[in-house]
Amino acid sequence: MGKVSGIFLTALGTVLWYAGGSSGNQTMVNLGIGSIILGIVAFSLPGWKCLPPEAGKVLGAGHCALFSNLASDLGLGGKAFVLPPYENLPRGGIFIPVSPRGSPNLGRLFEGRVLYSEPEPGLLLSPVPGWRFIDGLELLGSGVGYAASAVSGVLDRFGFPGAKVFEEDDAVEVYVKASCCKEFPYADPVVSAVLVALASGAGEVLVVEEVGEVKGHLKLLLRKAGGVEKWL
Amino acid sequence: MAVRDYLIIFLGLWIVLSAVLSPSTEVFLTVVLIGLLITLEIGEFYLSEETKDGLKYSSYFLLLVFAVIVAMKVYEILK
Repeated sequence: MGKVSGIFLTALGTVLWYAGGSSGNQTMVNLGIGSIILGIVAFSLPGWKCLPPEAGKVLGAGHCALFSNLASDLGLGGKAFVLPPYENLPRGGIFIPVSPRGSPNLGRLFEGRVLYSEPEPGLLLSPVPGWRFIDGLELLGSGVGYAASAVSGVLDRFGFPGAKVFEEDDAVEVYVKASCCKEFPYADPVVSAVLVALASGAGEVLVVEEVGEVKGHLKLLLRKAGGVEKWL
Repeated sequence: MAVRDYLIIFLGLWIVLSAVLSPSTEVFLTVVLIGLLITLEIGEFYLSEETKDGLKYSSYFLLLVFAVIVAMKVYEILK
Protein backbone atom coordinates (compact mmCIF):
# COMPACT_ATOMS: atom_id res chain seq x y z
CA MET A 1 0.00 0.00 0.00
CA GLY A 2 0.97 3.61 0.19
CA LYS A 3 2.74 5.90 -2.18
CA VAL A 4 4.44 3.16 -4.25
CA SER A 5 1.11 1.40 -4.95
CA GLY A 6 -0.52 4.75 -5.70
CA ILE A 7 2.12 5.69 -8.26
CA PHE A 8 2.07 2.18 -9.78
CA LEU A 9 -1.74 2.14 -10.14
CA THR A 10 -1.83 5.66 -11.61
CA ALA A 11 0.90 4.79 -14.16
CA LEU A 12 -0.83 1.50 -15.02
CA GLY A 13 -4.13 3.36 -15.43
CA THR A 14 -2.58 5.91 -17.80
CA VAL A 15 -1.08 3.13 -19.95
CA LEU A 16 -4.37 1.17 -19.99
CA TRP A 17 -6.36 4.30 -20.85
CA TYR A 18 -4.00 5.15 -23.72
CA ALA A 19 -3.88 1.54 -25.00
CA GLY A 20 -7.67 1.21 -24.75
CA GLY A 21 -8.22 4.50 -26.54
CA SER A 22 -5.81 3.53 -29.33
CA SER A 23 -7.35 0.11 -29.88
CA GLY A 24 -10.97 1.22 -29.31
CA ASN A 25 -11.40 -1.16 -26.37
CA GLN A 26 -14.04 0.29 -24.01
CA THR A 27 -13.27 -2.08 -21.11
CA MET A 28 -9.59 -1.18 -21.18
CA VAL A 29 -10.40 2.56 -21.11
CA ASN A 30 -12.71 2.00 -18.13
CA LEU A 31 -10.07 -0.08 -16.34
CA GLY A 32 -7.51 2.67 -16.99
CA ILE A 33 -9.69 5.40 -15.47
CA GLY A 34 -10.61 3.10 -12.57
CA SER A 35 -6.96 2.32 -11.93
CA ILE A 36 -6.13 6.04 -11.78
CA ILE A 37 -8.94 6.62 -9.24
CA LEU A 38 -7.73 3.66 -7.15
CA GLY A 39 -4.19 5.04 -7.39
CA ILE A 40 -5.33 8.39 -5.92
CA VAL A 41 -6.99 6.54 -3.01
CA ALA A 42 -4.05 4.12 -2.50
CA PHE A 43 -1.60 7.04 -2.45
CA SER A 44 -3.06 8.18 0.87
CA LEU A 45 -3.06 4.75 2.54
CA PRO A 46 -0.49 4.07 5.26
CA GLY A 47 2.69 2.46 3.98
CA TRP A 48 4.57 -0.63 5.09
CA LYS A 49 6.68 1.36 7.53
CA CYS A 50 3.86 1.58 10.09
CA LEU A 51 4.70 1.19 13.76
CA PRO A 52 4.13 -2.39 14.98
CA PRO A 53 1.36 -2.78 17.61
CA GLU A 54 4.00 -3.57 20.27
CA ALA A 55 5.31 -0.01 19.90
CA GLY A 56 2.15 1.27 21.60
CA LYS A 57 2.86 -0.85 24.68
CA VAL A 58 6.47 0.30 24.83
CA LEU A 59 5.54 3.97 24.45
CA GLY A 60 2.65 3.80 26.91
CA ALA A 61 4.29 1.69 29.63
CA GLY A 62 6.08 4.68 31.19
CA HIS A 63 3.06 6.89 31.74
CA CYS A 64 0.99 3.87 32.85
CA ALA A 65 3.52 3.11 35.60
CA LEU A 66 3.59 6.79 36.59
CA PHE A 67 -0.20 6.99 36.89
CA SER A 68 -0.35 3.67 38.78
CA ASN A 69 2.18 4.99 41.28
CA LEU A 70 0.28 8.27 41.56
CA ALA A 71 -3.00 6.43 42.18
CA SER A 72 -1.55 4.17 44.87
CA ASP A 73 0.35 7.08 46.46
CA LEU A 74 -2.86 9.11 46.73
CA GLY A 75 -4.74 6.10 48.05
CA LEU A 76 -7.62 6.54 45.63
CA GLY A 77 -10.47 4.49 47.03
CA GLY A 78 -13.56 5.91 45.36
CA LYS A 79 -15.46 4.93 42.26
CA ALA A 80 -14.32 6.62 39.07
CA PHE A 81 -16.63 9.25 37.58
CA VAL A 82 -16.46 9.59 33.80
CA LEU A 83 -17.36 13.11 32.82
CA PRO A 84 -18.74 14.17 29.43
CA PRO A 85 -17.39 17.40 27.90
CA TYR A 86 -18.88 20.54 29.44
CA GLU A 87 -17.88 24.19 29.87
CA ASN A 88 -15.16 23.62 32.51
CA LEU A 89 -13.78 20.44 30.92
CA PRO A 90 -14.28 20.80 27.15
CA ARG A 91 -12.55 17.48 26.48
CA GLY A 92 -14.32 15.52 29.23
CA GLY A 93 -12.42 13.69 31.91
CA ILE A 94 -12.26 11.07 34.63
CA PHE A 95 -12.38 12.00 38.32
CA ILE A 96 -11.40 9.47 40.98
CA PRO A 97 -12.08 10.55 44.58
CA VAL A 98 -9.93 9.47 47.51
CA SER A 99 -12.89 8.64 49.70
CA PRO A 100 -14.93 5.51 48.83
CA ARG A 101 -18.13 7.58 49.11
CA GLY A 102 -16.72 10.68 47.45
CA SER A 103 -18.31 12.41 44.48
CA PRO A 104 -17.12 15.32 42.35
CA ASN A 105 -18.51 18.84 42.29
CA LEU A 106 -18.30 19.55 38.57
CA GLY A 107 -18.54 23.30 39.13
CA ARG A 108 -15.17 23.19 40.94
CA LEU A 109 -13.27 21.07 38.40
CA PHE A 110 -11.12 22.76 35.78
CA GLU A 111 -8.81 21.57 33.03
CA GLY A 112 -5.22 22.23 34.05
CA ARG A 113 -5.62 20.97 37.61
CA VAL A 114 -4.87 17.34 38.39
CA LEU A 115 -4.91 16.99 42.16
CA TYR A 116 -7.82 18.25 44.24
CA SER A 117 -7.90 18.60 48.00
CA GLU A 118 -11.27 20.34 48.29
CA PRO A 119 -14.24 20.13 48.18
CA GLU A 120 -13.58 16.48 47.35
CA PRO A 121 -10.01 15.16 47.43
CA GLY A 122 -9.18 13.21 44.32
CA LEU A 123 -7.41 12.92 40.99
CA LEU A 124 -8.71 14.45 37.77
CA LEU A 125 -7.60 13.17 34.38
CA SER A 126 -8.57 15.82 31.83
CA PRO A 127 -7.88 15.48 29.01
CA VAL A 128 -7.67 11.71 29.39
CA PRO A 129 -4.63 9.93 27.91
CA GLY A 130 -6.62 8.72 24.87
CA TRP A 131 -8.48 11.96 24.07
CA ARG A 132 -6.92 12.23 20.61
CA PHE A 133 -8.80 9.07 19.57
CA ILE A 134 -12.11 10.89 19.98
CA ASP A 135 -10.93 14.39 19.11
CA GLY A 136 -13.08 15.72 16.29
CA LEU A 137 -15.93 13.24 16.73
CA GLU A 138 -19.33 14.84 17.34
CA LEU A 139 -20.50 12.55 20.13
CA LEU A 140 -22.20 14.74 22.72
CA GLY A 141 -25.73 13.43 23.23
CA SER A 142 -25.52 11.10 20.20
CA GLY A 143 -26.40 8.00 22.24
CA VAL A 144 -24.29 5.24 23.76
CA GLY A 145 -24.67 2.95 20.72
CA TYR A 146 -23.49 5.55 18.22
CA ALA A 147 -20.59 6.60 20.45
CA ALA A 148 -19.51 2.96 20.87
CA SER A 149 -19.55 2.40 17.09
CA ALA A 150 -17.67 5.63 16.43
CA VAL A 151 -14.90 5.02 18.96
CA SER A 152 -14.59 1.35 17.89
CA GLY A 153 -14.22 2.49 14.28
CA VAL A 154 -11.43 4.92 15.20
CA LEU A 155 -9.69 2.24 17.32
CA ASP A 156 -9.89 -0.19 14.39
CA ARG A 157 -8.23 2.44 12.19
CA PHE A 158 -5.26 2.47 14.59
CA GLY A 159 -5.11 -1.34 14.80
CA PHE A 160 -6.71 -1.72 18.25
CA PRO A 161 -9.67 -4.04 18.86
CA GLY A 162 -12.96 -2.18 19.29
CA ALA A 163 -15.07 -2.07 22.45
CA LYS A 164 -18.15 -4.22 22.99
CA VAL A 165 -20.85 -2.20 24.71
CA PHE A 166 -24.19 -3.40 26.05
CA GLU A 167 -26.72 -0.89 27.31
CA GLU A 168 -29.67 -1.75 29.50
CA ASP A 169 -31.67 1.06 31.08
CA ASP A 170 -29.20 2.91 33.30
CA ALA A 171 -26.50 0.26 33.17
CA VAL A 172 -23.78 0.08 30.53
CA GLU A 173 -21.52 -2.96 30.28
CA VAL A 174 -18.24 -2.46 28.45
CA TYR A 175 -15.67 -5.03 27.31
CA VAL A 176 -12.45 -3.49 26.09
CA LYS A 177 -8.88 -4.66 25.58
CA ALA A 178 -6.50 -2.37 27.45
CA SER A 179 -3.50 -1.35 25.35
CA CYS A 180 -0.99 -1.17 28.21
CA CYS A 181 -2.33 -0.18 31.66
CA LYS A 182 -4.07 -3.04 33.43
CA GLU A 183 -3.24 -1.97 37.00
CA PHE A 184 -4.80 1.50 36.60
CA PRO A 185 -7.08 1.22 33.55
CA TYR A 186 -8.14 4.90 33.56
CA ALA A 187 -4.61 5.85 32.44
CA ASP A 188 -4.88 3.52 29.46
CA PRO A 189 -5.36 5.50 26.22
CA VAL A 190 -7.85 3.01 24.74
CA VAL A 191 -9.93 2.51 27.91
CA SER A 192 -10.02 6.22 28.75
CA ALA A 193 -11.05 7.14 25.19
CA VAL A 194 -13.86 4.55 25.22
CA LEU A 195 -15.12 5.75 28.63
CA VAL A 196 -15.18 9.45 27.74
CA ALA A 197 -16.77 8.65 24.35
CA LEU A 198 -19.55 6.71 26.09
CA ALA A 199 -20.11 9.52 28.61
CA SER A 200 -20.27 12.01 25.73
CA GLY A 201 -22.71 9.80 23.83
CA ALA A 202 -24.91 9.36 26.89
CA GLY A 203 -24.60 13.07 27.74
CA GLU A 204 -24.40 12.01 31.38
CA VAL A 205 -21.85 11.36 34.10
CA LEU A 206 -21.03 7.64 34.20
CA VAL A 207 -19.98 5.97 37.44
CA VAL A 208 -17.70 2.95 37.17
CA GLU A 209 -19.38 0.48 39.53
CA GLU A 210 -17.24 -2.54 38.84
CA VAL A 211 -13.99 -3.37 37.08
CA GLY A 212 -13.05 -6.96 36.25
CA GLU A 213 -11.32 -9.09 33.69
CA VAL A 214 -13.01 -11.58 31.36
CA LYS A 215 -10.94 -13.63 28.88
CA GLY A 216 -8.21 -11.02 28.58
CA HIS A 217 -10.71 -8.18 28.19
CA LEU A 218 -11.35 -5.53 30.79
CA LYS A 219 -14.97 -5.58 31.92
CA LEU A 220 -16.39 -2.31 33.22
CA LEU A 221 -19.86 -1.94 34.61
CA LEU A 222 -21.03 1.67 34.33
CA ARG A 223 -24.08 3.39 35.75
CA LYS A 224 -25.64 6.50 34.27
CA ALA A 225 -25.73 9.11 37.01
CA GLY A 226 -27.50 12.05 35.39
CA GLY A 227 -26.48 15.06 33.35
CA VAL A 228 -23.73 17.55 34.21
CA GLU A 229 -26.23 20.06 35.69
CA LYS A 230 -27.10 17.53 38.41
CA TRP A 231 -23.47 17.49 39.58
CA LEU A 232 -22.73 21.22 39.55
CA MET B 1 -7.64 -7.67 8.51
CA ALA B 2 -8.82 -4.25 9.56
CA VAL B 3 -12.15 -2.85 8.32
CA ARG B 4 -10.12 -0.30 6.32
CA ASP B 5 -8.62 -3.15 4.24
CA TYR B 6 -12.06 -4.65 3.54
CA LEU B 7 -13.29 -1.25 2.38
CA ILE B 8 -10.38 -0.80 -0.03
CA ILE B 9 -10.93 -4.35 -1.40
CA PHE B 10 -14.65 -3.54 -1.81
CA LEU B 11 -13.84 -0.35 -3.74
CA GLY B 12 -11.28 -2.16 -5.91
CA LEU B 13 -13.74 -4.94 -6.79
CA TRP B 14 -16.51 -2.39 -7.43
CA ILE B 15 -14.30 -0.43 -9.84
CA VAL B 16 -13.03 -3.53 -11.71
CA LEU B 17 -16.53 -5.04 -12.05
CA SER B 18 -18.07 -1.77 -13.20
CA ALA B 19 -15.20 -1.28 -15.69
CA VAL B 20 -15.82 -4.71 -17.19
CA LEU B 21 -19.63 -4.57 -17.17
CA SER B 22 -20.29 -0.91 -18.11
CA PRO B 23 -21.20 -0.38 -21.79
CA SER B 24 -19.86 3.21 -21.89
CA THR B 25 -17.45 5.51 -20.02
CA GLU B 26 -20.36 7.71 -18.87
CA VAL B 27 -22.11 4.80 -17.14
CA PHE B 28 -18.80 3.57 -15.69
CA LEU B 29 -17.93 6.96 -14.17
CA THR B 30 -21.40 7.30 -12.64
CA VAL B 31 -21.23 3.79 -11.12
CA VAL B 32 -17.72 4.50 -9.75
CA LEU B 33 -19.05 7.71 -8.18
CA ILE B 34 -21.73 5.65 -6.39
CA GLY B 35 -19.03 3.21 -5.18
CA LEU B 36 -16.88 6.06 -3.84
CA LEU B 37 -19.84 7.58 -1.99
CA ILE B 38 -20.73 4.19 -0.44
CA THR B 39 -17.11 3.71 0.70
CA LEU B 40 -17.00 7.22 2.18
CA GLU B 41 -20.26 6.70 4.06
CA ILE B 42 -19.33 3.30 5.50
CA GLY B 43 -15.72 4.28 6.21
CA GLU B 44 -16.49 7.49 8.11
CA PHE B 45 -14.75 6.23 11.26
CA TYR B 46 -12.59 3.47 9.79
CA LEU B 47 -10.56 5.44 7.25
CA SER B 48 -7.83 7.93 8.05
CA GLU B 49 -8.32 11.61 7.22
CA GLU B 50 -5.83 11.38 4.31
CA THR B 51 -7.67 8.43 2.74
CA LYS B 52 -11.01 10.16 3.19
CA ASP B 53 -9.53 13.26 1.52
CA GLY B 54 -8.40 11.13 -1.44
CA LEU B 55 -11.89 9.65 -1.75
CA LYS B 56 -13.53 13.06 -1.38
CA TYR B 57 -11.42 14.72 -4.09
CA SER B 58 -12.11 11.78 -6.43
CA SER B 59 -15.83 12.10 -5.66
CA TYR B 60 -15.80 15.87 -6.31
CA PHE B 61 -14.09 15.29 -9.65
CA LEU B 62 -16.58 12.56 -10.61
CA LEU B 63 -19.51 14.75 -9.51
CA LEU B 64 -18.22 17.41 -11.89
CA VAL B 65 -17.93 14.80 -14.64
CA PHE B 66 -21.46 13.60 -13.79
CA ALA B 67 -22.77 17.18 -14.10
CA VAL B 68 -21.09 17.48 -17.52
CA ILE B 69 -22.63 14.14 -18.62
CA VAL B 70 -26.10 15.31 -17.52
CA ALA B 71 -25.62 18.66 -19.28
CA MET B 72 -24.56 16.89 -22.46
CA LYS B 73 -27.60 14.59 -22.35
CA VAL B 74 -29.94 17.56 -21.79
CA TYR B 75 -28.29 19.38 -24.72
CA GLU B 76 -28.72 16.25 -26.89
CA ILE B 77 -32.46 16.07 -26.08
CA LEU B 78 -33.03 19.80 -26.64
CA LYS B 79 -31.15 19.68 -29.92
